Amino acid sequence: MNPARLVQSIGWMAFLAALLVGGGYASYIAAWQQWVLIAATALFGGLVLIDALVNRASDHHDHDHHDHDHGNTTDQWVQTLVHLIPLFLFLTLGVTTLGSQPIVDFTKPAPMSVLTSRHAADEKPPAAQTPPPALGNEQNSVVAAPVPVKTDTATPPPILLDGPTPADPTATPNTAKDPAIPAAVPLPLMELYYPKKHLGVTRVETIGRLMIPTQEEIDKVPPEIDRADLKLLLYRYVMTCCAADASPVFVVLRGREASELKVDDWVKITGTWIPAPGLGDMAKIEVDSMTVIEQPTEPFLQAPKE
Amino acid sequence: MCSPALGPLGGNIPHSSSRLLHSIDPPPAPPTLPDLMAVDHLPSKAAGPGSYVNRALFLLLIGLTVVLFPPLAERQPWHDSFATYFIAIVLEAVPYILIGSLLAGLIELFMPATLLPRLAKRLGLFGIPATALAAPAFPACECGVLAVARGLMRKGLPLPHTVTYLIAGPIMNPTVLFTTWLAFQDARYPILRAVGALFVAVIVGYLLWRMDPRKILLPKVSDSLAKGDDGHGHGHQHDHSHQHGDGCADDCHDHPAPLVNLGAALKKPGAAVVMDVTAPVVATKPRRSFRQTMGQLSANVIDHFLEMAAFFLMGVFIAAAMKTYFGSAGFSDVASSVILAPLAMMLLAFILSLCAEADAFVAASFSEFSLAALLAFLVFGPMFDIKLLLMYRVVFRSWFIFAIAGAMAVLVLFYVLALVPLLDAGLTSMGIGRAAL
Repeated sequence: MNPARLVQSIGWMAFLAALLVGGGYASYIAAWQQWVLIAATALFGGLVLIDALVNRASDHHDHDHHDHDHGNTTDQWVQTLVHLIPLFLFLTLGVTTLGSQPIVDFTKPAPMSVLTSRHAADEKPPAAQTPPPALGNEQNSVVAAPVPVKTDTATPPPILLDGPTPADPTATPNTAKDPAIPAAVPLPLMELYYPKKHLGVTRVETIGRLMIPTQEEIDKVPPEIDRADLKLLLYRYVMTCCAADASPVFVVLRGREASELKVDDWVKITGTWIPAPGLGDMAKIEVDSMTVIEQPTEPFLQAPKE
Repeated sequence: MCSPALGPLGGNIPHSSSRLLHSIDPPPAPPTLPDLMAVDHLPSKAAGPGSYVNRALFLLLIGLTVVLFPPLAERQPWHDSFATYFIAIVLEAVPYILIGSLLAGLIELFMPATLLPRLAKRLGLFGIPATALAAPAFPACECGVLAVARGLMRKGLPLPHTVTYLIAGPIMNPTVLFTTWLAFQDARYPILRAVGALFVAVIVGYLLWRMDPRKILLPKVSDSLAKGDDGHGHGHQHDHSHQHGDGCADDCHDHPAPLVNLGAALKKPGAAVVMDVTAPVVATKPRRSFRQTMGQLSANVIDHFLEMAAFFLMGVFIAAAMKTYFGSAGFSDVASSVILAPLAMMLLAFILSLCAEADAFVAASFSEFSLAALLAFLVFGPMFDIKLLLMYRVVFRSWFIFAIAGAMAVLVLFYVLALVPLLDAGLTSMGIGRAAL
């Protein structure tokens, strides 16, 4: 194997292995793609090893004899630098993820809205009254709500905590002392987008990133959306295959001043969920508590596959 | 030393004279590269204008990377966006490019050299639609399909058939059609998407029927095919003295033979010389050890992968930049236009360079667009986008890439505006639609 080809191969192996071993792949591709990537990395590593061992003595590819464009030595090394660009970006920037910078329209329905009709049609009340699990990185799990089920889907659930913001911004209402306050149900932000899902759930706990719309962005909002509410948004991206196809989903946050907050901070929100009246409208959360947290190891939500 | 006897360009001289040849008019199948080059060999340039352009593009890419992402510089929000898009597309596509390269390597090693040319000859004009319909037999997404297509072409699949496969393959992939249905929950979308792919691929295949592959393929590709390079790559026309390794002193190479000499015939319009397909195939039985086979396979796959990956990275770089700075902003403004909406969606598909397995989910988010416009996105995207534009440069001449892109755009536009309404009406009358499945 000639030196340039060897460096190219090692560069690719280092890039793939670094993202797989460090878990950084979760910031770029869907969970189900992980196994494809592992298999591909193993295959490539095996081929490089075989090539190095079997063809090492035969000077097998040191001459330009077929349509692979080995070119001259200069071209080979120029191409080698191109092959090292992914590794260079990874080493320079570390594991990255999408923030609010590429968002151009926060009122646009998310791609999985096409699946919403099916979700909305499934209006069976949650059967199991199991306690909600802690909200970790497994954001796609949907839990049953331990609250009474309302059957009137047209009317938003009652807002039980539509009061002033607690003095302590991180304080959570003590539900043990006040039985009128239901426990917060951990739900991925994506689930709050569906207007008729999780019927009866009023208090929710979710994770996302903060976005403060600019006046220019607010001016573009369709007139049917209440612009007065658009001071602070919580967003998170949902991906199908990889970050390139990811789209953000949003909820409007009420009860916090945007000036206190930093754009793109990861926060855990607990509050009262006000589902959107319909597909494409924006849901709201009346914030009880907001805690700045570290970026989850899986920053993207996974679009439903079925 | 290699046996059996080698032709002037390294392919095996056919052992049976009955394979050569009859004159007929018109030719029932397009010529393959070995055919054309066997006599009418055009010398290639070691460093033609194309290679200088490629070198300049690569240097520009390296320079931009260093300038835009200087180590230890203050980090900007767009740095994260760009790097995320770039690395995401790379991670998603690399396995499929590798799988395509592996498939191509296996085809080159194990597919009988005469199989595809004989099939193409037997099927004649029907070979083009047959190729499109048979594309699921070599399933590959758009990132891997070029490697597979190149492997098929090396095995003698004529260029029109190869391009037909290249266009239809990514969409005719069963996984892609399934995810299309999944995204829309409407059977019309995968059906009309597949029909659109077949429509465009078959017409483009026929448009290329009489074209000279040497004017379409890069000289190095033409030369390689004409030499009967089986992927092991020994053309035997050039002087080389490398070691074949132990056990390779005999006929360890599976040289595909130049099956037919069309060079002279092409100088006389309307006449052609074709092979006698009834003649027995004279195969050179490879006698490779397992070790040699694995060595050859690994070298082929790595070469395929590394060569395409360089151009792929250039395309991904541009696509990531476009997504970071432009995204889909402004495209919704033309959603109500009958003509502009499909054009805008094709342009968007070109810019976004999405994987065919995921693009339907993105398309579904453009709910303000019509069925025709969404199908323009779904049909055109896997055929031509930024990363494919750069990857095609591995094989095709620049003029052909732009010509075929224009042809595909026109055909897709015609399909979605003229045929989709008719087909949609037919499907709807059959009860196929959103609730059908």
